[in-house]
Parts: sequence; C-alpha cells; structure tokens
Amino acid sequence: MRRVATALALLATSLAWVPTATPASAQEQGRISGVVRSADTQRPLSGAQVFIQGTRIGGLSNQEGRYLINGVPAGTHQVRVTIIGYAQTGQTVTVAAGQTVTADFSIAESAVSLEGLVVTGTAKEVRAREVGSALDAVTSRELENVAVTNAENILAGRVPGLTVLQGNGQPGAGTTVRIRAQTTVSSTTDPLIYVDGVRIFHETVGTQGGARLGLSPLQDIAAEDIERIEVIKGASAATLYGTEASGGVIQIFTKRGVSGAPIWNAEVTQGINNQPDFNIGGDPWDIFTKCGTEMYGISMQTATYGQDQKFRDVTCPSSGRWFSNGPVARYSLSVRGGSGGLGYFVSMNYNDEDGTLPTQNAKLGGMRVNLDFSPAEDFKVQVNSAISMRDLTFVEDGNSLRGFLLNVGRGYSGNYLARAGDERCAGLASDVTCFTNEYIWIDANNWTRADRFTTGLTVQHDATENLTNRLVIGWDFNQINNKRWQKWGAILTPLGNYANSITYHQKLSIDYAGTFSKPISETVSSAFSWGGQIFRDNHRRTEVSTNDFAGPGVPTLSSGGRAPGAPTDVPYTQTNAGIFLQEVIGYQDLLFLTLGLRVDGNSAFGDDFGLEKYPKASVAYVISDYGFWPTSWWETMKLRGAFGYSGRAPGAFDKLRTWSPISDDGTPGFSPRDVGNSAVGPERTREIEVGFDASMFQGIAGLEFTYYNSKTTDALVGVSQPGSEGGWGTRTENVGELMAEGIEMQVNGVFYRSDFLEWRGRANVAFNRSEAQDLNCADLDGNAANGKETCQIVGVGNGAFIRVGHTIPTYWGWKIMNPDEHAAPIRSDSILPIGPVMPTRLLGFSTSLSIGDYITVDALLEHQGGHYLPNFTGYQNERRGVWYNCYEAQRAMAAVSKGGSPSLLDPYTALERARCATNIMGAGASTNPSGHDANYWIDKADFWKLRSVSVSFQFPEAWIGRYADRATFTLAGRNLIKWTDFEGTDPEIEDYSDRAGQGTGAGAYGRREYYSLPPSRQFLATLRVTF
Amino acid sequence: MNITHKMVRLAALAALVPFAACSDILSLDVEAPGRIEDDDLNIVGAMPGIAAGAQYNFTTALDAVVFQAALASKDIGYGGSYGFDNTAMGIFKFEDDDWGEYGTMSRARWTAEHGLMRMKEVLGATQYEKDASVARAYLSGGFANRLLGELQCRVNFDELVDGEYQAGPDRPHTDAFIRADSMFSRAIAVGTAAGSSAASIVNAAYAGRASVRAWMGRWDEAVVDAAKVPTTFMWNSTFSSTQTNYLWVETNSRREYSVFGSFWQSVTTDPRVKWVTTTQKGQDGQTPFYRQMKYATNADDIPIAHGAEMRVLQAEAALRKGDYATAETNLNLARAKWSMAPLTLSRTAADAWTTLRFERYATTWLEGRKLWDWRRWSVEGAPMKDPQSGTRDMCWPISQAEARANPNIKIGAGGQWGGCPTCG
Repeated sequence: MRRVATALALLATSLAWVPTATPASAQEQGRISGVVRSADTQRPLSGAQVFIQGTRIGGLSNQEGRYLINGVPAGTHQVRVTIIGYAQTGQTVTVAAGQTVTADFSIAESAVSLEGLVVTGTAKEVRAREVGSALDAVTSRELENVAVTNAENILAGRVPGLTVLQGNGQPGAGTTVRIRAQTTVSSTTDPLIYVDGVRIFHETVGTQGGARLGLSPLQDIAAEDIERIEVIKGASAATLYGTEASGGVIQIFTKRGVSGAPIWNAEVTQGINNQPDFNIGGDPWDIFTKCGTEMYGISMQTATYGQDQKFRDVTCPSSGRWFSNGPVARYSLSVRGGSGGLGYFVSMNYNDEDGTLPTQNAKLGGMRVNLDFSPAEDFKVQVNSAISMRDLTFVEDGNSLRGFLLNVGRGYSGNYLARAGDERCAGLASDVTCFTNEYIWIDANNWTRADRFTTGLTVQHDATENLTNRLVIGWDFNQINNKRWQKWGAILTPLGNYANSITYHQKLSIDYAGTFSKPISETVSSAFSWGGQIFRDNHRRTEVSTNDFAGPGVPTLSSGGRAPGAPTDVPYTQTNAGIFLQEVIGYQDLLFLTLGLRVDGNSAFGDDFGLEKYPKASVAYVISDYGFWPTSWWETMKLRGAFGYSGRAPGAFDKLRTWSPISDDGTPGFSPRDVGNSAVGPERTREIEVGFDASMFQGIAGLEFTYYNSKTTDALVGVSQPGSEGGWGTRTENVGELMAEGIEMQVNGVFYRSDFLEWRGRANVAFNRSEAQDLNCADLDGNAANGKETCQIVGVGNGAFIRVGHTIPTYWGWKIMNPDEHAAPIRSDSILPIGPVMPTRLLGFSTSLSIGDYITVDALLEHQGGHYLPNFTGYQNERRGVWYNCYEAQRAMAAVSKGGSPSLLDPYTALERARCATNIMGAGASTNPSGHDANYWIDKADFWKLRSVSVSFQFPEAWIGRYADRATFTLAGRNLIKWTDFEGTDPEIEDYSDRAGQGTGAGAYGRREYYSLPPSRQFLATLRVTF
Repeated sequence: MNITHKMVRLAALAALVPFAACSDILSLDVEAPGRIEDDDLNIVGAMPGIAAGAQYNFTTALDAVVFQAALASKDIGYGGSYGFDNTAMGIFKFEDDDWGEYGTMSRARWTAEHGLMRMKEVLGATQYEKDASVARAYLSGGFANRLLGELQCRVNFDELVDGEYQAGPDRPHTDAFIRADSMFSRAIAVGTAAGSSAASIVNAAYAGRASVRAWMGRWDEAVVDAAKVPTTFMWNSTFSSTQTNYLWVETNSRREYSVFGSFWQSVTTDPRVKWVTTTQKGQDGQTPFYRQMKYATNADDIPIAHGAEMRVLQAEAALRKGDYATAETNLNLARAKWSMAPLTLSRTAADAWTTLRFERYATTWLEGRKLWDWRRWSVEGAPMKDPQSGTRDMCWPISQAEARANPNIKIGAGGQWGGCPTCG
C-alpha cells in the first residue's frame, strides 16, 4: 500500500496544481461544412480531421468526405485539415452568427505526412512531426477493398517489423503477433492492445486441449469498425506505457460519429474456405487426405519391412478427398452520423463460416456503439462500448490421439483401424487393411464460446486553449468457455469423457493525462504532460473433467462416473499503477525534444523491490523545412532518434513462496508450489532507435527507415533450483541480459499515374537479430577445468532453447555434418544450434491498381524467413514407414539390411538417409545413431505467401441512382499461393497447446508442426453499399 | 488561478484519496487464492497435511519413475512415440537429461525431511514423539531415500551449512540407504508410540527397513524385520480417479509400453504378471501391443512394500547361506498369496538363483524394483548376476538440472556429473 499511496500522492499533487479553466464567455456561433477530396483523384476522403486552428473545435469527414463543424464562434478562422497520408492544408473562413459556411478542401497526397495527428507513445494527440520514434499506422482507407475480417488480418504484412503467424487453419483460430525481435526469455511476447484508449486483456488464450489453437484478442475487433491502427514497436516509444509494454503496443481506433445525416453502410460477403493440396514431393495421396481405392505405406514389420502395405479407409468421402469447400457468409451493417454536438457510430456484424472438414464452424458476431457528445463547450465525452461473441466448433488437431491429420495423415499407422467384422470393410481384398477415420469427428467434439465486452468512458476537458485534461475509465470483460466431449461409444474411449474449462478475465483501467502547452517565445514551444494509470486484472481459469458415461446422450459435468483428475482452479488478481511526466520542447516547429519519465508499481514486484523508473528522450528534426532543402523534389525529410526504457512485470506469483493444496488418496495436504523471490522486479528493456521519414516527388515516393538496438537487463529467468533443495523447480530472478537489433524500412510510392490508370505500391522490409548475452552465468565451482562454467539454459519447448550467444530462441539438436554427401550420415558429437524459432526476415509487398473510375485491384505478398520449424508430421510418418518422400530410400535401406548391395543407397544423401532411417523393431537408435531422430526434421521454414488479391468494381452513380450513394462489388481471395521448401503442412504453424499450461503462453516459445491443419484459402465476393 | 476553483479541486482530491486507499482497485497486493503461503502452515492443524504432502510427493515420484525403471530392465517393452529408445536400450545419457525425475524423487525426500523439521517445531518434542503424522512422514522419507538409493548411481542431499540448508555434494547412493534405515527406525519408534492408528505404518516401516538393511548387506537384521511383516500385508502408493496411475495411462489409451518385447513376453499364465494380447499396434504404429493388466484402472495402486516381497527377501537371505529348504519354503509362502502351486527349488546354486530371480521379478513386477535387482546382483557376479542385464546401464546419473544448479556436484567417472551408470 505504501507504493500506492506514493503514486496517488504524486498524481494528486500534479492534478492539484493544474491551472483552472476560465469559463469561456458565451459567443454567437455558426457552422462550417464542406467536402474533403484527394487533389490527385478527386475522390472523397473519410477520416480527415477538420479543425479550427488554435482551438479544439473540429470534426471528422465521413465516407463521402463531408464534414460539419458546429459551434464555431462568429468571426474569421483558419481552418486546417489533416489526414494521415496527405499534406496538411487549410483556408481562411469567415463565419457569421447563425449561418453555415461552406469550405471544401482538395488536399495533396504525401507519402510521409508530418501533420497527421497520432497518439503513438505520447501523452496526447500530437502531430507526426513532433514524434521521435517510428510511426506505423494502417488506416481504413487502405483496406476498403481488401479481404480482411479483423485487426490481425489487417496487420499481417503491412507493418514493418511486425510478425503475424497464422498458427492454425481451423476457422476461428487466432494468430501469433510479435513486434520486433524477442526481448524476453520468460514473459509473454504478446503486445499490449488499446482500443479507443482502453487497455484490453491482450493475451492469447488457448482453447480446449483437442483443438490446440489459441484465440487472439485482435480477432474481437471487426475490420469494418476500425478507422486506423497505430503500432508502437519498441521500448523507446512505449516508455509511457510502462511495465508490460516491452513487447510493443497496438492502438486501435474505431470509427466515430461525424456531423451530418446518418450514413449507412451495409456489407454482404459470400464465399468459401478451400484447402489446397499439400503437394509435398509429389505425394499422390497428399498425406493420405486423398482416398485411393487402395493406398500404400511401407511396412516396418520385421518380416516384411520394405514391402508395400495396402490399406483403405472405407469412410473416406466419395469425392475422393477428406477436404471439401466450406461456405463463408458475412454480414455487417453500420450507421454513423451526428448533430447538435452528438456523434454516433453503431455497427453490427455476423460471420458464419464452415471449415474444410466436417463439423468445423465459426460463428462470430459483434456490436459496437461509439458516442461522442459535448456537455459543455470545453468538455468532450466519448462513450465506447463493444461486444463480440465467438461460437466455434473445431475438429481435433495436432498431437491428439483423435487428431484429424494424426490419423488420416498416418495412413496405415492411424488409430482408427476398423473393428473386426465392420460391414463396410466387406469385399476388401484380404491383404488390404481397413480403416474408419470418419470416427474422428463423430467421436470428438471441441467447442469454444468466447465473449468479450469492452466499454470505456473518455472525458476530455479543454480547460483553456493551453490546457487539456483527459480521463479514460475502461472495463474489459472476457469469458472463454471451452468444451471437449468424446461421446459414449467412441472407439478410443468407449465410455466417453467430457472436459470443460472457463477462463474469465476482467481488466479495469483508469488512465488520466494532462497537457499544458504554451509557447515560451516566438521560436520555442513547450508542452508539459503528466498523468497516471491504474490497471487491475482479475483472472480465473477453472477446468473440470468427467469420464465414463452410463450411456448415450449429451453429457454434463455430473454425467460421468469418474473424475480423471482434480479440478483446476487458478485465480489471481494483479495491479499495475504508474505515473508519468513528459516535456516536449519545440524549436521553430522544426526541432522537437521530448523528455519523459514513468514510475511504476506492480503487485507482482517483490516486497523488497519498490518502484521501477523508466526514463525516455527523443528528438525529431524536420530538416526539410529549412530553406536550403531541395523541396522541389524532396519535400519532406524528418530525422528522428529515441531512447527509452520499458519493462515487463514478473508473473503474479513469482514473489511468493507458496504451497499447493493436494489430496493424497482423499487426505488433504500440501506440496511445494512456488519457491518465491521477494526481490523480484520487472525486466527492463532499453532501446535506442534512429531513423528518418522522407517524401519525394510531390508525394509520389516515400521512404521510412529505422534502426533499433535494444538491451534487456534484469531479464526474468527461471533459475533452476537444485532438486535436492526441495524440487521447487525454478525461481524467477532478474539475472538475464539480452540484446536485439534490427532495421525496418517502408518504401511506398506511385509507380504510374494517368487519368485512367494509377498503380501504387508499398514494400515493408525488416531484419532482426537477437542474442542472449547473460543467463545467470557463473563458474559454479570456481574451477574452469571442471566444465562447470554454466549459464542457465532455458528450455522453451519443442527442442528450442535460449542459450548465451544465440538467437532468442533457437532450435538445438543433433545435426548431420555431411548432409549433401552421398555417403553414410555423420552425426555431430553433441547437439548444435539449428536455427531461430521466429522469422528474422520479414518482407511485405502490397500494391493497388486503379483502372478508370471504377475498378481497383489490390494484392499483398508476404515473405517470412530465416527461421526453422520442426516437421514432426514428416518425422512421425517416416518412422512408421508412411512418409512418401522416404519410400524409395526406405526400400533401399530394407534391401541393404536384407543383404543387398550397399550401393543401393548411393542415390541418397546423408541427410536423406538419416531422415528416412527408421527404427526397425527398436534397433534404430543404438545400432544406427545417425538415423531416426526428430532433430533431422527441423527444417528451414522460409516462405512466400500471396496473402490476398482483390478486384473491386465501384458501381457508377448512374447505376445506383437514388438508392445508394456508393456501391462496390469485390472479389477477393486470401492465402492464395504458398511457396516454401518446408515439407510439413505449413511453415506458419503454431500448436497453441505447446504454450505453457494453455494459459498465457509465457515462457514456451518453441513451435512445431505436428499434424496441424494449415490455413485454408478463402474466396470471397462482397457487396458493399453506402446509403 | 481562481482560488475557489482550486479549493474545490483539492477538496475533491482529498475525498478521493481515502476512497482510493480503501479500494481494491489500488491494492498492490497480489491476490492468489488457492495457493497457501508458507507461513500459514506453521500451525498444529496443518501437520497431517504436511505428512500427506510427503506421501503424495513420494507417490508422484514413484509414478514418474516406475515405468522408466521397468522399461530399462525389460519389465516392459517400448512401442511408443516418446523417444525413450535409449532407455529401452539400457542407455542412460546424461546429456539427454531424460532423468529429470531426479528432482521429483528429491522433492519426495525433501518434503518428508523438512516437513518433519516443521512438525518438530510446531508440535513440540513430546507430541512429536508419538504423533501418527510424524510416523507417516518418517515412513515417506524412508521410502523416498530407498528409491533414490536403488535407482541413482550417486545421490546428494541438502545439507546444513552455516545454519542454512544448501544443496550438497554428490555422495555414494548407499548414503540414501543409511538415511532410509534411520527414518524407517524412527517411523517404527514413533508409530509404535502412536498406538494402533499407526500399526500399518509400523508394518510398512519394518518392510522398508528390511529391504534397505539387506541392500546394505545386513541380511540377518533384514530377515528379522521381514519376518514381522505378514504375507498379506501391502503398503501402496495410492492412486485414485483424481490422482491417475500413469503406467495405466501409458499402457491403455496411449499404448506407449507393451509387454511385447519385454522379459515377460513369453510368460502367459503367471497370475502375478497379468497381461493380454490385443490386435492394436503400439503408439509407434509398429510394435504389437500387449497390454499389462496388473494395473487395470487408472486408480490402481502401486505397491511400495509388501509381505510377499518380504518372503522372497527371506528366501534370498537363506539362499545366500546355501539354505535351499528355507529359501524354498519362503518362496512358496509368497506364491501362496496368489494361490500358485508350490515350486521345488533346485539345489544347484545357479538354477536356484535363476528361480529366485524369476520369483522376485514376478513378485515385484512393474513396481520399479527390477533395475535395482539387476544392479546389485550384477555387482555381486555369478551366480547372482542375471545374464539378461548384460552391460546395460543400471542406474541413472544425477540430473543435469541438479548439476547445473548445484556448485557442489563434481564430474564423476565416465565423464558424467554424479556418477556413471555402469559403475554399479
């Protein structure tokens, strides 16, 4: 409580000395309205901020470019227009009392806009020119015709340095989002997420074990609702967000009401999900997902290994393929408008899509209400509320006994061997083994219901022309209800079972910021900000299972005759509170120096730790505003540099020494749980970032470049405790040191422009590198000769480790040292680093082609590379003799083992021999140490994907007449083509169950492809009407 | 600044401060219901829970190691996908760090031994010497030390240095037997003082002490203790529907371990070694799956010590003295528990030892004991040594996790920290 009192006292003191507003005298008022258009295309621009300079009076343009400003004092005013991607413009307008003045704007495009207002890492909205760190934003205008459903679709491939991995192909599956290189060895890498200023629960939550996928909070924000997304990428920019912000921050701004008549938007989408062939090495059965009359594996039985083994799945669909097209339907309706000081935006959406396998279905729906009003001249109030609901049905996936690919994809080695006497097997030849994989989805049901309700109240008080106070109170409620049910009569569990887990998470936030801006002289300006935030998280996850039903029927938790394990119940409450101060000094509107400090307390900090302090400093220098700059062709050049700290909090229980309640055959007792560390504090990431933003050729070309270098000190490391001291496992200590660096570039431009054709494009390029530099390193016994120089080796799952001197994290394993030689494989003497888990190279290319007034073609191509992924589908199939690419090599090995000539192996490289060497009846590991090891299947996972292509046709006004203001028809495709050498199902796979405890996933970063369903293709047709 | 406005603002803030101070919203205390803070256990009422925790952790440790010990000693075969090929081949690689269960076994020892320290402080000396919970904790500590001694090449303990317990250096595995012997003796003493409520604990302690005294070569004392344990007596690690016997899991739904390929593949009618054939394959998709049926449900208990084992132990003691008749009698007393026909023990040492080994293996099948039997007999050589044990590794080195975290662990013979598996 001492720290709270300190924080509160500081906050109170800062508030108390805020100069009080002088009530404005009543004035006669008028209105200003008009249309904002692009100077280049004459198309209306939505989302432009139109305001009277020197005041807070203003409005937003709607989808038709129209704006309306009420309550304008009579007189002459300078009206300015800003919008990201365009140069600022303005005009002088004279308003008479009681009248409406028209002022239209035609604004020029600018590849780098310095006048657009952003909130990136700042205390209040500021012009982009004042910000000393990289600015990355995606606006709704860029997405009008693109096939995106939610915020994570929007971010994929569009922000340099931001990785979006599509972890699983089932409808409703979430993605993994990471910003820049990893700078933690134990904490979550999920970035913080704000929606309209309210911090929401930002962590991915797992579904029930069978589906093995995660649900991302970004899925809850419908693409149709989003006005723009800003991404704050590094510690230097995220300093004011304090503890928990080292992984970056995503700020989402939804659409708001605009003055004027109601504008309705209706959207209808129909389409299909389609699973393309895997096309792995010419496999004719496509990992057995295509049904043949008979298929073949290679038997590994002693007597017959190397022989064809015939089998057939009599339940495979008559279409000859397990996958089929799943229909997709999406509907959305929104209205925005406003008058008399009230603005509103109301939207609803509903999606219903089937997957490419039976029972896969995702129903998503949501509603958003954003209200703006001004109870007094100097007050603005926003009330934003949204509810989203997801109702998802999955097939079992990944490393599950009932998993689809684990069974179908294993062909002859699957689990669903038909029961003797199954009538459907009648008529098969005696040498054909009969399978019935259809039971995978008849027997198994995985269902998830995920609800989120977020509401926020924002009050802005413009006390004077110089003083702004803003208070945001937010509440975010999440409930994820997972059920997994194996019905009574199931083949693998004849009596059935049922498990139910529910995760609740509530986040309450109170966020105050004040800014006092005042010119110090004609050339020097000052903006001093102060504020504080309190975030309170209440979390609870419960799980109960029951087994053995008496008979058929839909079970409840009381239906079973036996509980397979004790119920799980993990509740906790955690609080973070902090205050900040910031000063921005401007010189001639060219040079801006920002200094800031944030001080945080957190309930997870150890009792002996105290408060954490995060300083920051940044410089922005608009050098192109000098007279010497060649603005005739290079109109904008901003140099920027930033330095700052941010942090990550320890886990909620890391500071406590606790015991778990247990039951020893009915007798209650205690068992060691958390060893505790009363001195634990947050890890601190210090980042230096430099770069520039340039715009050339009258806005036709833009270039943004950033180099960053970060160092994390006091990194939280789970330090192994000797088992002999109680087997407490690990103790979280601040003993690590990590570095990360990278470059990020964005190039955008207009390649060609004529009256009929415009072709523009944008390229994002990012490279990153990370390294663990110290992980509690010590010479344990003080004798180097003993080899006890050790640093903590942090295992993060699936063969991935974080080790000193290597990328965070890296796969390790045995390697074949002569992989390309046509010779016997030579295995390394010890396990060696294989490669990074996460991409180190990200490229995104988007392009847009406008043909005439009516047709637009958009495309997005993305590359991720430099990383590796275990192909355990290949490994597990190979060891069973059912991996097509190993058939020939395995036949040769079988022949040699039966006395054939060793030269039969000549066509095969050492790596091929090692990968395809199977463990014949247990003889593999010891007799052939170079063969049969999952390590040989950790492969490069570089890929290129054509993420989306869309063709839009805007109906001519003459066609839609008086029925609508605007109508667009779009044909779009997602995940259309993939280029990769990775032999598993997909190089983006992440099995969410690999993350620790299916909770936050902190500390479990190793990925694997293990019979995981890949992302499917989508083909969509959308009709969008504005009226 | 307008002084009135300022006063109003300060008053409002002053009103907010006590509200905030009392509010949950501003509490920086982490709230973690469900986890019990260490200091809260220092009450008399928590002592039965301390003893239950010690036994629970021993059960957890036994559950974790029993199938690996079985796999390594051909008590069961491997047909799975976990990658325990090395273990099945009798290769215990330190670098693989498969043997993370060292920490689990150590935890079982630690929770008992440190639980007893807490009990002594909380209960006071008088109550401590006659409390059934204390006897139970001593018993769990004894079995935990026996488990370490039987399966580890070398062991280490936390030791008192300058008033604090710290992870100590590696020591001979027989040190664990010495500790076990002491703890079993204390369990007998305190259990006897506690009265009839601790009768089973006392029986189990005699069985435990008999075994460790035998392993230390004190066969005469072992026989005295063993004789006090009725043939029908069982002391189990108890499982239930909420604490699953994982050997059952791995040999049922998972099909990771199969009797196919084990020592028992050709033994089809022994009631002590119950298994059935199936038409399924193991989880590797290749190995014929023969399901063990000793543990037919996930709640079936794993024996820790029992009277039949004591009879076989008495038989072994007799055979060591060349007393074939007494050995035969005791073996048949053990067999009678399963209503098996009496056997006639060969009077030839090699054959008699072959029979005794089989009887002990069958009596303790899938109880995590055979690997130790291989090891101790291998050290003694013919006629005790089982030819099947060959040159396989028969004990596990101290885990990498312990070695890395404990500056007192030195590199042992064979280049491995904490001793080499083949060093006996």
